[in-house]
Amino acid sequence: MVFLPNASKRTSWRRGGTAILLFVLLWAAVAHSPLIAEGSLPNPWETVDYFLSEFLGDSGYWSSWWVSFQRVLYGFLAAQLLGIPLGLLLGLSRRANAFVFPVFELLRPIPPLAWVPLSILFWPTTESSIVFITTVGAFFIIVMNVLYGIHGIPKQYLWQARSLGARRSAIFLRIILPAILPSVIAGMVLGIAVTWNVLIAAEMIASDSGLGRLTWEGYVSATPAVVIIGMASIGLAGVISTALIHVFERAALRWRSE
Amino acid sequence: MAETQSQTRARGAVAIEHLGKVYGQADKGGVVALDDCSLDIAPNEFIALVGPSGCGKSTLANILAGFDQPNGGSVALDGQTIASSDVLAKPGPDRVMVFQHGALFPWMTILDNVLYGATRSAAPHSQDLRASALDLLRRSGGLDRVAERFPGQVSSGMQRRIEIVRALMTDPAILILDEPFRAMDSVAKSRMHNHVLALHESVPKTTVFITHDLQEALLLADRVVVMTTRPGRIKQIVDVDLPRPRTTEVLASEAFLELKAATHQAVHEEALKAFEAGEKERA
Repeated sequence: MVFLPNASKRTSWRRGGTAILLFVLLWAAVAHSPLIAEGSLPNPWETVDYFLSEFLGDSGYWSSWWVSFQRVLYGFLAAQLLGIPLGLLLGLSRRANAFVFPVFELLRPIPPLAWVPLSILFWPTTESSIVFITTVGAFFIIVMNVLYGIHGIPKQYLWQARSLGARRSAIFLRIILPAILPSVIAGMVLGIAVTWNVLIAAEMIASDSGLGRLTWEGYVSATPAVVIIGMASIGLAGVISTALIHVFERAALRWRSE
Repeated sequence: MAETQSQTRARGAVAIEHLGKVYGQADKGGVVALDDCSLDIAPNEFIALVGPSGCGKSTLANILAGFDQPNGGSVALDGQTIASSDVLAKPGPDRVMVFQHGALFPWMTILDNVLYGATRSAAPHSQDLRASALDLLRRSGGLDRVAERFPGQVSSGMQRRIEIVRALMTDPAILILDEPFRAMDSVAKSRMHNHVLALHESVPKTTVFITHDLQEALLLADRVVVMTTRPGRIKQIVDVDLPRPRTTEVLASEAFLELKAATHQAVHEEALKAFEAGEKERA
């Protein structure tokens, strides 16, 4: 992430802190403004207060985290495990591409949530249908990224490898796979965000647990503080997941640093 | 041992006979990239192919390397046909190409890059290979010091020297260099010239060097092959009888300047023709 001029670490922490502080103040201002209905939006300290007294020590809240994280993990991993090989197959085999790609393109525009009814009918448990829907979201993204990654491999790398006498297996393992890794990781960064999006919506529709459900129940029980806590938790969960992928990125793409 | 040595000495003889390549169909506006090119290259000879862009010198290099199929004629390497209209083009480690834009694999360390080709050929011991790779890197201007870095962390001059080391590691019969120093500034370029000249002394190889720069060609090569543009034909072959070992100092010598003056006209004519043809195409 080097597209912007570097600020020192301290400066960027200070700026980040200021930005969050300003956001909290804005939130407070909106909560007290006459434009919104009385009591529909708790201000920041009321929310924190509510969180500390009702949620921090509540095992139900933390198990919502755990349940949602598990679903994201399963859905995301399944998407990678199915999507990366399929992307490689579509990108490297003309015949597979001719047979599979038209169907793939037909299914790709269907929003993951449109799979909810069929998924509930088809899968034996709610849990499996939620994981399935979550998988669908990231699956198409990773396949497309692998496909574009393969098309983007500079031709001279492949020529050079063949000129050096590399066998097909050596070209696949040591040229093609590392060459598409940046695209795969870009697909993961996009994919994890979509995974959370889809999961939260699916939980609201079809589940009785998880952070999405928690947020929805806040609405149903007319407790706006719960809605806000749910939303903040989802945001934080997304940030944590993305950070984990960036850790993986730094380790896997050591050659791209500096 | 004596036998292996004589075999080594005999390696790298190239016979190019009536080679032709047409892209598209000749009578329907296809491009005749090569027309009836014949050239014999002796083992360990350094040949420079000179000509303007689009004269077919890269086509010739690609056919030699096995990336492209000729329509007519043939190329034999040490008596074996490696290219003709009915031999399927196939690249291999006996004729390694160093590309114009560079093709070090950015995700491998420099040492892994250098070993990539070598470990694919039947090799005795990876430990020996490692040692000889490091030795060749060291002799290429102390590059063994950067062996564990990634290509993106070294200068472009280093990258080119590393690519040549990588090519040499597979012990090819021919080394093909396709305008490898094109994008370099003049200081870096002349350092690379001295490097290539010294390397050719210590590790002699049949070398085909593609360039559009006549001075570079005369400085490096034993013979300079001047090519014409569309159709790509061999216009003239210049013997460069400057003594070896050479360095860039030879550029200032009387003999070099005479040679350059004598050859300049031929290359200039072709460059002009190519330019006019380009103008016509645009018009």
